[in-house]
Amino acid sequence: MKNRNRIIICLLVIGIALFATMQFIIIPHNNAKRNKYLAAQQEPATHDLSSIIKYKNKYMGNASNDGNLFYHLPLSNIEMNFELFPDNFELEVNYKDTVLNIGEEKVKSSLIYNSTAAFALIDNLKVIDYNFSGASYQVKKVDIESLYSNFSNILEKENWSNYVQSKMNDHQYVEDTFLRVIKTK
Amino acid sequence: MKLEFVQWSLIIILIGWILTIPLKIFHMSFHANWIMFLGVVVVGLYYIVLHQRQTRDEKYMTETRFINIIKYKKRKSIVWILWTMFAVISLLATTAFYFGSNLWFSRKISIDGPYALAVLLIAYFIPMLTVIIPIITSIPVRLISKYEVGENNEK
Repeated sequence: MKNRNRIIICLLVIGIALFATMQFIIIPHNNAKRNKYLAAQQEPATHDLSSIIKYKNKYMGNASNDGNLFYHLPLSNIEMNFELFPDNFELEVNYKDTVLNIGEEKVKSSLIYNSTAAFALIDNLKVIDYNFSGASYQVKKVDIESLYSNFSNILEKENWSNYVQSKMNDHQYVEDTFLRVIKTK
Repeated sequence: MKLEFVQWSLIIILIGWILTIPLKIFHMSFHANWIMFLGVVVVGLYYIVLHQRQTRDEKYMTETRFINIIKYKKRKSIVWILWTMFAVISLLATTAFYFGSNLWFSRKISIDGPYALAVLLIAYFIPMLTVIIPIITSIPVRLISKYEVGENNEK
């Protein structure tokens, strides 16, 4: 009887210690890590390529794949919908916010980054139209391809970080590239 | 005997509670964990009250009374049968929930990685925690035999 009382006290101590570690150390730590990761996913310079690799697809006609890809790219925190024009291999992404609200710099770098990702992952996609409230842009695959000498293997981790991601913090590069490849409609 | 029964129940519920704590990482055991915690509090308080009453009242400890062991044995077997049925149904339900479409369309089962595997195992594990109910109902049968007053136990 007394021994079992000791067991109860031991179990109680273990339980409380475990509960406290879980509640006050591990869970807040995990939440902070997750929030940091989610915030990083909204920035082209820190976005995680491995989170979108699974959306590699031969055909742009796969609407759910196209949608899921954009829901895992920067600007995914903005409400959006899609329209497909398979005859022209064209995808239209409609963001329900203004460029001013999101921030011009952010929109520019995100459009370059998202277009590169979408064209690299979806084989037969040729054109993407981005519509914001009050502004519309068009990007063609040939123009994005011309930015990189090694577009066919741009999805390799090292190439991606050297040729795509690292340049997203370079203000001048983003401005020049935006003017070169993204047409205002 | 009653005190020892409550004590054993407390130990078992405590173990159940400790087992559900790490599952909180997966945000899956929220209800199981709270139910176990409430169980620990209620049974724990009851145990303390009973313990104090017994130390105060010597007679309570040494009192002998008639207990029909058959009744407890019957109850034990009914609870075990009910629990086995519950366990089988919940295993089938979890399987249907996770793999129903794979079985129906005879597609290959794919698990996305260690996290998905852990989530799956926990989904199977949580209903099994209810095994503490039949275990607790089995305790009296063992205790009754232990404290039985008979020729063998008489001093």
